Amino acid sequence: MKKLLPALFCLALLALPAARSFAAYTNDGVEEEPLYFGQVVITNNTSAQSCTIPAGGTMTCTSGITILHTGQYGVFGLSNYDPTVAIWASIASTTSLTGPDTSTFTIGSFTFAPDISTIANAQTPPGGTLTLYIGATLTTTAGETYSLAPYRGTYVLQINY
Amino acid sequence: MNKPRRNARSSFFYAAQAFLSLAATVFLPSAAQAGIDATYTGHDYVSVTSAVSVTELQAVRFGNFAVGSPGTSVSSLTMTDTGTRSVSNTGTTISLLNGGSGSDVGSQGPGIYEVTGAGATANVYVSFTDHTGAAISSSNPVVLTGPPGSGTFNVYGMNFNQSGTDANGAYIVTDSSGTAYIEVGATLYTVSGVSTYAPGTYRGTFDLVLSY
Repeated sequence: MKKLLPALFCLALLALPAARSFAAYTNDGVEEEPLYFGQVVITNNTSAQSCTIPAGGTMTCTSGITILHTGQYGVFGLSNYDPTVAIWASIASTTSLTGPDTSTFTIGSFTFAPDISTIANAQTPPGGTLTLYIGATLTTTAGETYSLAPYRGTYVLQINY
Repeated sequence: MNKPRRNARSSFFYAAQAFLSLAATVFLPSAAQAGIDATYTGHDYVSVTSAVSVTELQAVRFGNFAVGSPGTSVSSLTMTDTGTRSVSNTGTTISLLNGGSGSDVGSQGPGIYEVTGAGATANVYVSFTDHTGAAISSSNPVVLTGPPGSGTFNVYGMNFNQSGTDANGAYIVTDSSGTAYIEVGATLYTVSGVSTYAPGTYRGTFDLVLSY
């Protein structure tokens, strides 16, 4: 039996690189489309107004905002993921949308299509790839006056397993 | 002899235990662990704009004039964006008629269009088209029609009190309240081959197109 001891340790050592084979998945992600809330006219901002783009859907706004040109949900392309490991998405952080003045928009209520917004809805990416649509809600600050200009912000998409 | 056997079994047991322990260290975390695979930065933006409205305060008016000897030659009457009339006669004669002597007064004047809602000190780009969106030009003029059986006039060469021109075209800058007054001039041409311009009012339309 003493002769088995070296063999068993060698077997254990051989198992180590096999377990680390997850490192072969580079988990790449590319922002294919930004989350664009279109061209809007703020006609009444005495109370906070908002625009919502469902993931994969059509933008709508509350009554104080008129849509001149509709927006577009964001699109991320995920690739080189382990096709056997279920993943789910969350938003790690956001920044307010800022423009040339001190007024800002906030962004929140993110949605995903496919809906992998909770660990319970985690899905395996077929072939290691997944196209993820991202929707959200943009909200004004009540009483603020907004310049006629673009307002820009960022968000951090987090892929969990 | 028994003692070595016990030692041998013991060595196997410990070796197996060590292997299982190591194997558990390697494999089990990957089966049960949850965490973050990756994070990516996305971008979001919105473009706030305004609903521009345009009101015609005055149409482009060439005023009263008489046309003599219409024929193959083409004469013209220019109304500048500041309201000055002038004629260029080449056979067909256009005679300006006015209500005073020594000065050109009357109902003529440039078109005046009030633009609101474009935002303060905004560049508003102006162009002139027909109802299909095609630019007004010598080959696509505004046609003024008058009394039945009478000839028509062509109008093109629109211009306005522009503030400047850049790569997007000619523009006017709105004031601090987001308002601008676009004053439009143009040139009226007689049409070759017309034999009669009957007295009356001649009208036509064009589209004032604003971009901002």
